[in-house]
Amino acid sequence: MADHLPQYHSARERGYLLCTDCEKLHSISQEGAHCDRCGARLHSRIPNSLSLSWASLLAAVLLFLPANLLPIMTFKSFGQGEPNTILGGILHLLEQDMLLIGLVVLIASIVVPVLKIIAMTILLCTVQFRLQTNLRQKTIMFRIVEWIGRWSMLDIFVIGILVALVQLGNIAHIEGNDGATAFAVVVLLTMFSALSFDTRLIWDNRKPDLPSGVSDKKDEQ
Amino acid sequence: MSTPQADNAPVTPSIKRHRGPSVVWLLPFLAAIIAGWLVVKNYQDAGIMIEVQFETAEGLEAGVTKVMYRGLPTGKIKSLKLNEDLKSVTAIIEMEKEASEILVDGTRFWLVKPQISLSGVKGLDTLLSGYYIELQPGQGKERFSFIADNEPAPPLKDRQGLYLSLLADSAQSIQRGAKVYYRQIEVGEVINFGLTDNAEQIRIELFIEPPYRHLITDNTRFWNASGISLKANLSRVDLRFGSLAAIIAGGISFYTPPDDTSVLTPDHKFHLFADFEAAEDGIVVNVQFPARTSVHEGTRVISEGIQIGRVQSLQLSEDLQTLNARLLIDPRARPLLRSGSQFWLPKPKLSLTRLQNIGDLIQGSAIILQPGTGEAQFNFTALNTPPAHRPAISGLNIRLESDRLGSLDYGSPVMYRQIPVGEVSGYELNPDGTKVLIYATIKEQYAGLVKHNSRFWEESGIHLKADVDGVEFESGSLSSVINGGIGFFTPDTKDQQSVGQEHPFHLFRNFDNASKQGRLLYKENADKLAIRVQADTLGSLTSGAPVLYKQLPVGTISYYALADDDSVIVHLLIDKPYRHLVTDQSRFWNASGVDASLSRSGVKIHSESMQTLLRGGIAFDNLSDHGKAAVRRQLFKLYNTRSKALQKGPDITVTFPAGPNITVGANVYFKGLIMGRVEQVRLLDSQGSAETKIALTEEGALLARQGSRFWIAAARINLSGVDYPETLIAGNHIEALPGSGERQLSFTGLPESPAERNLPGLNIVLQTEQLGAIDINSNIYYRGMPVGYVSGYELSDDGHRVKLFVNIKSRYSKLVTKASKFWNIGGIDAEFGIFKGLKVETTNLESLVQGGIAFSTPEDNAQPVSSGYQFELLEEEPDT
Repeated sequence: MADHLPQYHSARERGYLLCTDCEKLHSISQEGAHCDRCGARLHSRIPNSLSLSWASLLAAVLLFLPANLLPIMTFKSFGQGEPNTILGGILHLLEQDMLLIGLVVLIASIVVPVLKIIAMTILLCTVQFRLQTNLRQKTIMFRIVEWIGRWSMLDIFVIGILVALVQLGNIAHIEGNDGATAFAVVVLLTMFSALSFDTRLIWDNRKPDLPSGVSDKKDEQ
Repeated sequence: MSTPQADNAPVTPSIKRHRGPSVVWLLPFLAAIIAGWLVVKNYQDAGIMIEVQFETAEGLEAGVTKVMYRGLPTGKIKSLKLNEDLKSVTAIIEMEKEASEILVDGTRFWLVKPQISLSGVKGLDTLLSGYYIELQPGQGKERFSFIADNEPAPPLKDRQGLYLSLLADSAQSIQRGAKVYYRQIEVGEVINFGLTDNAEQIRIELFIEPPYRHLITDNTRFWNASGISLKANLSRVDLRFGSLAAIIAGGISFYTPPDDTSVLTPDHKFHLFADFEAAEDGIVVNVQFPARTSVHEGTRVISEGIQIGRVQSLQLSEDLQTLNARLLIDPRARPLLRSGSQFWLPKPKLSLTRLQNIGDLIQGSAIILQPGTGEAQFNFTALNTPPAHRPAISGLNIRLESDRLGSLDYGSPVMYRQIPVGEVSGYELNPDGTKVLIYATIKEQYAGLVKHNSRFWEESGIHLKADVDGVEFESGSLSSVINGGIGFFTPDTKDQQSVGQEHPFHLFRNFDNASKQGRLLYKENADKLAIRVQADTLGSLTSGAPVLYKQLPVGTISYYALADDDSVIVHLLIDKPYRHLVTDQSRFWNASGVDASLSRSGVKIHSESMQTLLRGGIAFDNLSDHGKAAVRRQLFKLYNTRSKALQKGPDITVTFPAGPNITVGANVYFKGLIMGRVEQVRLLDSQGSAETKIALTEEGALLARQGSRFWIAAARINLSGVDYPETLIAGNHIEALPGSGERQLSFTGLPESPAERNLPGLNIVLQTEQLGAIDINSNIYYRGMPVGYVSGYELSDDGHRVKLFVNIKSRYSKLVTKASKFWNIGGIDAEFGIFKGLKVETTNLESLVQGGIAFSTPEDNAQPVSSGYQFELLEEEPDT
């Protein structure tokens, strides 16, 4: 699939680099130095972006298993109550005809993390294997992923609030379980994965005239 | 291409080769380890799946119903499925991993449901948590498929405490969980019961809590405390029940003999007795009763009033002539069981003495044991009837001879001053049948009261006054009234001798006989004044009734007897402090009943006291304080009423011609004072003439003179007012005018008020032709002021003139002189003349209505007049 994108040159090709914090333009030679305006460290590409992103994503995927298999919280009322997994809770909500809340939890807790992991995997694969297709759409996807990622913490916040509030002794009390921890770590890791991913790498690969090996090597340094 | 760095010095980048993988790859590694560990741990925590087959899925719920072991959740039903045979369900249960050791052969599962009963609530937790499955581990090889029991398995005998087996004939109201009580305290429970191997008995397994295990010894006796045990027959109702819980849920009680020193031998088999009594222990004594004796199981055995045992079982002999009773006697009563001991059953009777002890009524009569003195013996033959004469263990035995038994019976009390001091122990006819011999026993501490001259009487029958008073104040003696008893007293003579056993006495019929009409009560009577009163009839007097002086009891009526002249002589005893009150001036009257009188001042009801109202009494008072002290046995007259008794004047008889009615009780008035009272009215003829008997008071004595006049005052209403208005209410009375002649006791009454009366003041007579408007009570005016009145009028002896009797008030009597002129001012004086016109004159309205007389007295020549002086009454005012 051909991208009908206009010809352009990256800043690096022109010998510039942009401070990512205050967007002051610097010379490429200031790589690794501090921005003379805001003091941020200057990199033309996020160092080790690909490794960090991959590692975080992998860890997230691994922890996603216990996050969903283990119970995230236990709600006990009058001595009765069971530890609930995320999926169990959603099913419970749906059984209770609380469709809307069930859907919200389902989206926030299952769909979004899964989609995020998939999206990150696609993006990382694009860079890793220098795929040239649908680059623009992938960038849009990244933006969505980055924006929506924070909503995955909804569950954790709810559990945190409930555990703090519902402590009525024998009448009702809620306690968090291991699954919640795992889930929180999954969300954090996916966010970190998205954060460490440098979208510019997508476009670096696109330039056929630029030796990709060089830029890759520089990236890795 | 120009670059910005062209301006700067070329920088040679120092390239550091990074060897090996980045540190960041530790992150997924770590995550993998954590995830792996969590998953592995989760897997390890996963339980063991077992299958338990239930008859029904009722109460089972997948994902909810738990399996509990000793209160700990050890598993949960994962799913339920109906088996192919459609007759049972299988629950797939996920058990905790730790539970693997108890999932073996013999492990039993059952569903626990809440059980609420009066003996307790079981499985209360299931109310909140839902039903759960309880398990009891068995022993054997590991196993994952079970069949659930329908009912809870018997608890494991693995607790601290004591496990016992009882053998019982019936498991009546014993159930699992029924409590075991010791002195009504819960000390354990029934854990299981079932038939013994040979199916002949019930084996009941008990668990006794550790703190109570020492209560059980080999001699412990258990009985079924379940339910309400009601044993009733005609003479006996036995209601026994344990605690409410035991009633409903059943229960077992036990007791251990207190001085028991034996210890519990392991595997000792206890017997569960049917009830408390069956469990009791004692010495077995066999007694043969006549076949018809109404003993029954449980009949008590009593010796000297103490229960010492009971009938355990009864068996009729083969010839149907004897009833073999097996008695259980308290071991402590063993010394009583000797040869010579006698057993008998008093005839059941319902009498008022028994009512004193309601327990007797309920418990029925008891077998009585009279201990003997010989060798120990355990087989006896009962007596048919109580022994008439049995030696008392303690106390004084006396023998009373009587010509009849009266209402005496076994156990009738012997009373001394109304206190039971002994009882009748038996009676029999003497050998020739002429007398009844009554045997009585006086309690040891009262034996000294009986002397050789003691006199006994039968305190039976009606003469003992079952009157209101007796019931109210002497209910203790009520039983002897109805049930009979013996009273005795000992005259206080100096030659008293104490008596030995079996002393014979005579039994008198009543106290009067025994005490010779009270004469033998020396000491009681010693300081009392005995006097007699004579009455026409006894009235409601009873002996023992009080003698009252100013409503204060000062003595009692001792007894009474008929005198030769048909009157009744009542003997009174006046207590020592009041002896001086009785003098020859004393007047006695019957104070019984109510004395009501009606007079101008209203209705007066008088009764001496409530007591006399109920049981009669005699009151007395003294006419004067200067009487001579009464002597012993002085005879007085008993009047019927107080007023009669205290009457001081003589009795007179007045015969009234026919006229207004007069009734008994009417008073005789003179100047508004009561002078006497009509005691009796006797009709003399058909016209209505009546002879009245009047009792005069002390002041009234002046009426008993020649010349006294009596007339009946009846209400008369006329224009000028009402005469004797009080008689309208109180009835007619008698007015009297005392005479001044000799003493006279018989009079003839006037048909109406006398015209001429000796009134206070000046009494004069006016003579006139016509009575005119003048009437009795017409006023006499002097200068318009009333100074007197017309007290009466009558025709002169020759019938030509009218005599007016005028009374002038004494302070105005001087106004009347011999020169006084009287004229009639009654009516209207009207004059009519052509030139004068009409002139109407009246003195005043009163004289207009009832007439009036005016007089004037010239001031000179004043000669006073005396009563009886006669004047002429002018028709009109004289010209002066």
